[in-house]
Amino acid sequence: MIKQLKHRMMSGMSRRMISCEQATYLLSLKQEQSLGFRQWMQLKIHLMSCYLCRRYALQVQDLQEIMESYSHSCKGNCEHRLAEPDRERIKSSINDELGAG
Amino acid sequence: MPKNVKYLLEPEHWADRHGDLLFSYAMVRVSDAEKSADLVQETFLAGLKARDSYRGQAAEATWLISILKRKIIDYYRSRAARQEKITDGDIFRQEEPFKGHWLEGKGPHSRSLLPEGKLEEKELMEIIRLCLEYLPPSMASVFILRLIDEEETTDICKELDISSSNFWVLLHRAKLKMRSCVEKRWEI
Repeated sequence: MIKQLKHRMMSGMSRRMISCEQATYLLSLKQEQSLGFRQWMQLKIHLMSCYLCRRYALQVQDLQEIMESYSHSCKGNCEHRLAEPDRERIKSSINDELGAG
Repeated sequence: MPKNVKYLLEPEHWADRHGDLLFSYAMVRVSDAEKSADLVQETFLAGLKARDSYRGQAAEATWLISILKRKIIDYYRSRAARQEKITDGDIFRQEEPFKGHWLEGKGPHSRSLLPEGKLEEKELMEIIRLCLEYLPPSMASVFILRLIDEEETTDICKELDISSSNFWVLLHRAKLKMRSCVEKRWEI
C-alpha cells in the first residue's frame, strides 16, 4: 500500500513524465523497433520510479518468448485432430462438389 | 503431366491427408473447434473452385494452407467489424489524479510471467490457447499474424486494411491483455 502510494507520488511529480499507459506502449514498441532518443529517455526515467512498469518490462519479454515457443511447437506438432463426424461431413461435401462438377 | 508441374491435386484424399494439418493450423489461430472445422471445410470447397488456377508449383498442403490463411483473415475481419469499443479502461486509470496509471491490482504481480519451478510446456501452451480465445478479434488478428506467423508489419496492415498506428495500438493492447490473462491463469 505504502509502496503503491510512494510510486504514485514519485511518478506524479513531473508534468513531463509519461504515464504507465504510455510507458507500457513504449515497451511494446521497443520489442518491434528502436525508440527515438526522446522516447527512450522518457521510458528510462519512468522505469526508474515505477516498479510496476519495471515488472511489465520483464513480463512482456517473457510473453514474447512464450509466444515464440507456442508458435514453434504448434507449427510442427500441435496435434489437433479433426473429430471423425467433422471429417466425414467434410469428405461428403467434397464428394458432392466433385460429383456436381 | 506437363514438365514444369511438380504436384497434382487429389481432392478425394484431402480430408484424410490434410484434414488434421489444416484443422491444427486453424485451431492455433481461431481456438474454437467448431469454427476451425468449418474453416477447413470452406477451404477445401474454395480449393475445389480454384482448382484450375493451381499451377502445381507448391505442394498440395502448402497451397491449401494459403487458402485457409485467407479464410482466417476474413473471419477476423468479419468479427472485428461488429466489435465493441476498445479501451484500456480496465487496466489503467482513465481520470485524474494519476490518469494513465495502473489500476489497483491490475499491474504485474511479480517480475516473472512464468511460475517458479519446472515449466509445464503443455499446460503453458493450453493457457496461451485459452487466452488467445479471449482476445477481441481485432487484437487477436494482429497479435497472431505478428507473433505466431511472424509476418512483416506492412504486410499485416495491408491484409487487415488498417493503418500502421492502428496496428501498433492493437498489438500493444493485445500484449497487455495476454500478459494479464496468462498471469491470472497461473494464479488459479
